[in-house]
Amino acid sequence: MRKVKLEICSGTSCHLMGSFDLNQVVNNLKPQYKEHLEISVIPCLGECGEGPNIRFNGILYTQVTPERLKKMIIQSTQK
Amino acid sequence: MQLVPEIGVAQLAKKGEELCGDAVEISRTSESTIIVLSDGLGSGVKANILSTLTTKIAAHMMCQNVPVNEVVETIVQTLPTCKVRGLAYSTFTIIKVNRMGEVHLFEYDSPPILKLSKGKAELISTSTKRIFGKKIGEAYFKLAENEILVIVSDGVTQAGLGEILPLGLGIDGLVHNLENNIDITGNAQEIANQLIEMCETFYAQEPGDDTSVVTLRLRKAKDAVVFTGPPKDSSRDSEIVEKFMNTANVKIVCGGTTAKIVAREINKPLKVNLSYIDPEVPPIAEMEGVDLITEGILTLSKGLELLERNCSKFDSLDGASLLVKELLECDKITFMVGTQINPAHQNPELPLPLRMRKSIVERWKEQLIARGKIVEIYWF
Repeated sequence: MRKVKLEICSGTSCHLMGSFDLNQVVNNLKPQYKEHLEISVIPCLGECGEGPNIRFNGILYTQVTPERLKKMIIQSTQK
Repeated sequence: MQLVPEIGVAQLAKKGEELCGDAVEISRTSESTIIVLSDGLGSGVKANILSTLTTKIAAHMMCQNVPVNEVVETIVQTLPTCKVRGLAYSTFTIIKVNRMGEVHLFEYDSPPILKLSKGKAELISTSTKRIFGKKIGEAYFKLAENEILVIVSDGVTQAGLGEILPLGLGIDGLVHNLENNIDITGNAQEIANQLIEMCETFYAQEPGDDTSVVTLRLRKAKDAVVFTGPPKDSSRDSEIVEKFMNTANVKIVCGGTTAKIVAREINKPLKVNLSYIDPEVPPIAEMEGVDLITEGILTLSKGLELLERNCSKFDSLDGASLLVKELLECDKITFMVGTQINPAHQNPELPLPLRMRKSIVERWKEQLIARGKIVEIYWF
């Protein structure tokens, strides 16, 4: 199965808007989900006013909540 | 070769006292660095007043190249007399070291000064002369690169007195510990911290006296440059990155967008460390050719808070602690501050410091200058 590429923005705005919580979601994932992910943190995705931002398989998502991220990961790894 | 003294200071206040009765003052002139350690009579506020007066007077007069007999005379005639003991008394050690490593030492009633060289500790012998009725020890000697001076108050030599060590640590005990138990490979502050922790242990966490350690290590001068904030005019990116890469031997970037600009200009990959060490401080990143990359304004604010709280230990691996630790080890720091405004940071719902890069950098400058650093700021 091809790995899902997840990039989490750790820029100042995204940090303040909750990117730490998104990192926690990733850290606490069960191994069966985690092994399908290629995770990286990047300094800024350029949408600072809309954070926290992620890029999921190359597509930018803004105002991502931990619940939404969890759902995205689970859905993508079940495909 | 020009050498600079790297100085570490660590203190313990006597049990039950909020203020340490010892004082340390460090002053720098263009030619030399002056360190004064004084132990005031008694403990607490009274001792602190006596020792602070002594260090301030001595450091200020030594900076003006006033002869030592006038310094001693001024101290003796200025100190307030203790009502109980009828004495005006504080000990002092004055060290003046220049950029060639030549040291001029004066001491009055203080424990001996130790020189550490290649793992061996030796006592500095002094000649005695009488100035204004006081027996003042004086010595001239040369300190080589990487040699360390250890200056202590009697709280160190008396550590553990009557308890764990019946006769106290003593100067021999201090020499033994310096040669065998203290890791002297770290910087001056780390050595001072280890010595003060050792004393605290001998005192069983209840210091019987004010205890101070000052360490001085001679090393080559180290410069740092901190690049934070993108340039207002983005057409200047490449010129400014080139200047950043050629300015100093320690290169630090504070800011995600700034780091991306540097990565683009020097064509190196930027890799953010995945782990958050501290939820308050965003993660650090790595790039070939740059020594430290942190997030911008939050990390700068947190680092400033550590400095303003007078923290002396920076063991944590979060960006702010690493930044402070790195800069405190440098002698000259250049801030290159981009003034481009990130509109998202102007959101009134976000914390105030986010909109105040300028004032935060200015406060960093004040804090670093107070610690004897040379600081320059370039805005662009």
